[in-house]
Amino acid sequence: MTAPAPTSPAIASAVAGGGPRRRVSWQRRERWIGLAAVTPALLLVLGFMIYPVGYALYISFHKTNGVTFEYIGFGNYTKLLADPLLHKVFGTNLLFLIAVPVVIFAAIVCSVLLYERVRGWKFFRVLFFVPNVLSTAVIGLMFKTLFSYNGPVNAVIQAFGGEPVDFFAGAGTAIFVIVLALVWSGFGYQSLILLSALSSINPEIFEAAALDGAGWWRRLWSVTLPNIKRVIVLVSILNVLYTFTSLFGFIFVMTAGGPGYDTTTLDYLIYSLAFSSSRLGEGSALAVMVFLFIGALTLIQLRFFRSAED
Amino acid sequence: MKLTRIGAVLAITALALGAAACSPGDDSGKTTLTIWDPGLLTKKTDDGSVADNSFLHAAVAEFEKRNEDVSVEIVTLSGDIPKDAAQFQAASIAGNGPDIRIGYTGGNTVDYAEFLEDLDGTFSDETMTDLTGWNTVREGYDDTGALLGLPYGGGSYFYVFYNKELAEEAGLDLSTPPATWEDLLALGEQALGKTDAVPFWTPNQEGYVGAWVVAALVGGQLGSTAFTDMYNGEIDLTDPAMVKAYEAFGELYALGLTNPDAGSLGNGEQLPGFVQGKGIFMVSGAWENAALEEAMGENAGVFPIPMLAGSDFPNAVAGGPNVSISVTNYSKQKELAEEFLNFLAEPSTIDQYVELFQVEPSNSATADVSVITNYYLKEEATFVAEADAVVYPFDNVMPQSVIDLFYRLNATVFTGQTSPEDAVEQLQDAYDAETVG
Repeated sequence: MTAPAPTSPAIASAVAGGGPRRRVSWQRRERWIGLAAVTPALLLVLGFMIYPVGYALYISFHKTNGVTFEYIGFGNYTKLLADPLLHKVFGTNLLFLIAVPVVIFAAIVCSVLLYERVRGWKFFRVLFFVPNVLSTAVIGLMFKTLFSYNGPVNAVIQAFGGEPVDFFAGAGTAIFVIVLALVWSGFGYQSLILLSALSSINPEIFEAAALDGAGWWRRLWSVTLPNIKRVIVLVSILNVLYTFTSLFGFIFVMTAGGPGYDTTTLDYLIYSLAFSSSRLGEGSALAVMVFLFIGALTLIQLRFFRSAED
Repeated sequence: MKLTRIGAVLAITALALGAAACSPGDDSGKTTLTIWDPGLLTKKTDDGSVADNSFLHAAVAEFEKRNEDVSVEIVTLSGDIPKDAAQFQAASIAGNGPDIRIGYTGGNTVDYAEFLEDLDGTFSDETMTDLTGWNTVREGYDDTGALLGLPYGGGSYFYVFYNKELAEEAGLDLSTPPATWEDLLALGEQALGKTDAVPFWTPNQEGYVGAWVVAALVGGQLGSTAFTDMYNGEIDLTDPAMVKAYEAFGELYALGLTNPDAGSLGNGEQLPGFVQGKGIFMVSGAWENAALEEAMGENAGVFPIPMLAGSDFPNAVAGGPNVSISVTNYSKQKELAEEFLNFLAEPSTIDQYVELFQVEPSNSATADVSVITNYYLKEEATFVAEADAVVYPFDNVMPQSVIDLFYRLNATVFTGQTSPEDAVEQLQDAYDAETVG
């Protein structure tokens, strides 16, 4: 038990009702203004997030095509969990996680170089951010063209005496191209997040390390990275989430989930189930499962990083 | 405070004006009909503008002339069957799809019965007797099912087209078309390396070429009702005929007779590549007729996809009524939409379609056959007339989700990533899930 903190006479008198009325009415008014200020955001969240999520949950317990509804309890969930296609697609999604360390590594390298103001750093800072102003569809089409059978990449391979590769005809090569597109489109933004973290480190720490004789690598490992560890954790979590929820655009434009289902990801499967067939209930059930999975994964990551920090 | 109020009034006025400007209503007070077409009845030029022979645009202009208070808006979709189907379903669930939907006959229409108006009673007895193909757009494919669309055109069938000059250069004698699929492959092997072109130009990323070949080869073995029997559960989708057809189709790629990027080249490359002389043969359908004649004149030949040796129906052709025109049950202009369908169903309007497109004959008994001028369409008419079985294809009959899987599997069986046995098992599971589960 802690003792109550001593109250200042002014506050005490105000609380006791002895203070000027104007102050109380202003506080009440301030509360209403605050409430009014958050109301639009609250309505947006309720309307565009909580209602759709709740409705998706409701649909997931039904056999439905969006028009007729038949309650089947956990039927959609059990059916999906036993479906070999879902297992395969989940495995494919795990493969796309390869992109996460690659993006983070590229982002760290770039952010450190930008922080150290290498020659042309202002130009590179803009250049790295360019992919973020392009839509996923544009990036997807760009990579599809680059890696097409008669595209520039194969032209280079042939120029060096190699055989052209049909990148989108096989699972491994198609996933490789999508991962490449993912890394290219994502590392610039992550670099800027890391750069802002680097900028918040006290420069005197670097100066002290330099005075102590620490070289560039030593400073990177012993000063820079430990100081931005929390931001790296954030970037990692965001990237893992992104890999499970935001590949749809790339897949839709580049491979349509093919060949076969080899590049189909969970979000693309949700779309296929819900709209390509009359299995909206199964699509919703899968969306709910992915939502729960991502939530659990985020908690596990946070716990893991916290224990590593301890 | 006064200023704030004035500002608020101005903002609300601006918003109201903006909303009015964005509203779907027609300024002229005309009633608007919206039609979605995946490129089946419309044509565009390379630069994206409406082509002179775009039938639907011509028909709409005539309809608008007859009904001055009506404005018809045509929305052209991507042409990618699964994507367009998904788009229609999503819009229909939201209730903001079109008044009239143009799609494919069979599963592509029947599968969306929940969103389509039953058109029984819409057409006169005279029209019902005059036109053929009604059962391809009825639920259950029989006379008792709800009528979900207007079947348009006499049907498109699947053929092998060949470049006459390249065939001659490769030393192929095609004065008589190959009698069997095996003979066709032998011709391909004979032509290998003789010209700069590959024997079979095959963009099969979406699996469409596979759909046409498998339809023909299974039809040759099982006859006209092959796929309707599968749909009704009388024949399993794992039937050996399906496996044999898949094996035969996969041989094209396995023997190196196609372009090496067949697995990743989209259907949009089909005709341009063939016209550019990239392949001696091309498996496609009558929908290429007009563009083919325009690009190559009579320098290409055509014959039906030959059947497997020993098939019970050696002269089968695969294909059938292709275009279905439906009215959505959430349309606010149902009567007007049905009036438009009746206008389209007039024999003279169908004649106009045949004349402009030259891809299929009319499905009207009172059609004017003189409007058929296309060299290939004339040739094809004799094949259909002489066929011992006309097979309504898999991807017209089955539920949409099974069709989507079928396309995916056609692509991977072709490149050897999925075995034919595995493919038919997957199809059976998908069919069971759709019809039983």
